[in-house]
Amino acid sequence: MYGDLAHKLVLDAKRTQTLDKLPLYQDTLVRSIVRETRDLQKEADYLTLRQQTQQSQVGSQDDDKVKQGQLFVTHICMRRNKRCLLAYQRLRSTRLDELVWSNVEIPKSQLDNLSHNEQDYLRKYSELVSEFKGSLSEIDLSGSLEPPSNVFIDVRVLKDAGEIQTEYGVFNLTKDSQFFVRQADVERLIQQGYLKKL
Amino acid sequence: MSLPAKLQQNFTPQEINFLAEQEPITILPRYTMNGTQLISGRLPNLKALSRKTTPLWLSVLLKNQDKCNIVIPDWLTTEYLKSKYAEELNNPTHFSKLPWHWLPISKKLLDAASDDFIDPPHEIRSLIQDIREVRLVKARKGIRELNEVYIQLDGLSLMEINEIRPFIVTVMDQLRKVHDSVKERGDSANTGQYEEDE
Repeated sequence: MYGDLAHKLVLDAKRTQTLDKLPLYQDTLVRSIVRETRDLQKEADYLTLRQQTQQSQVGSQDDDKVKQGQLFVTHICMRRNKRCLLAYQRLRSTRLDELVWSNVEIPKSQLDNLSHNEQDYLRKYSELVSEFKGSLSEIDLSGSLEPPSNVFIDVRVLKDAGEIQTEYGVFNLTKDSQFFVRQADVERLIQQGYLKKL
Repeated sequence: MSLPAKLQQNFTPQEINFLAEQEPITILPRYTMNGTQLISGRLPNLKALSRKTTPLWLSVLLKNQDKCNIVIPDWLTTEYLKSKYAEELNNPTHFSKLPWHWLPISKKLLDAASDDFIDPPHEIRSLIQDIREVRLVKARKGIRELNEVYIQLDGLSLMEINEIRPFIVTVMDQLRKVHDSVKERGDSANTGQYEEDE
């Protein structure tokens, strides 16, 4: 029946909600939904054409009503397909936005799961975000959202990162060493998973 | 979105702590210090052993450096808390009036300035725990009274409201939707219009 494919897509979207990584873009499914919608459109066009040509002739009123019903249902089917497609795509795009804002490098395995258009969107959205950040350069907009509690914190190095230059000086980050540093200096490194706050 | 989904509806406990840290509190400086202009206000000139009011975060910062003693507010005494506890027990349907940020402030003061308390801190701690539990039970009971129109939460503090907010708001929203749809059905039964839901 019409709309079954779209239902499958929505179920996939629902599954995506609970996953912490974006799954593969359902290319074939989306394509078949679009094809179904195109068929429906053809049918709708045909029905409208029939109605227009028959208008001059005097058809029975019941016949006219059946035609109207057919056209209406076809439109509803198309609309349902559209809603499902949009819901799926919107969910994915919000997840992509979150990825951009989380301020970490997006792994290759994630990028491979995106469709071509989504990759395009991701690139342009990151451009937009960095442009926005540029206009408010005093504030680190993608920084940690936790309110600051201590100026100085203890951090432990989890991964070897070599020498890393922060705005206020150079750290030599060897694994398993511990530092007492200003929180503002190392926030980025904590976000990227090099350091662990103690 | 730029804001993670888990932060969109509710405050995190850290954020409430942050809000509580803006509350003014009286301190007893140990040294004489010149005040400075801060962005969020002015640190007044401090004279040793003369009371001054500063925000909680600043008081705790000074306390950690042993530069002041904190004057414990009146409501953090065993006497007062005992009377509140009795009040809670006597009024099963009302919350007694406590400061808006009583939980985070008491926790912060017990952590940072336990030596400044006149009454033994462990007693205060257990009294606070008792009051909290009584109020929690009352809040649970109040959930039975949920309806789609309003809810009255006199005397509940921000932290306590924040704990029950996600549950109460969603339930009330659902109730409201059910209620509205029933009413709408009644209204539009005569017209019989086809309405698409959002």
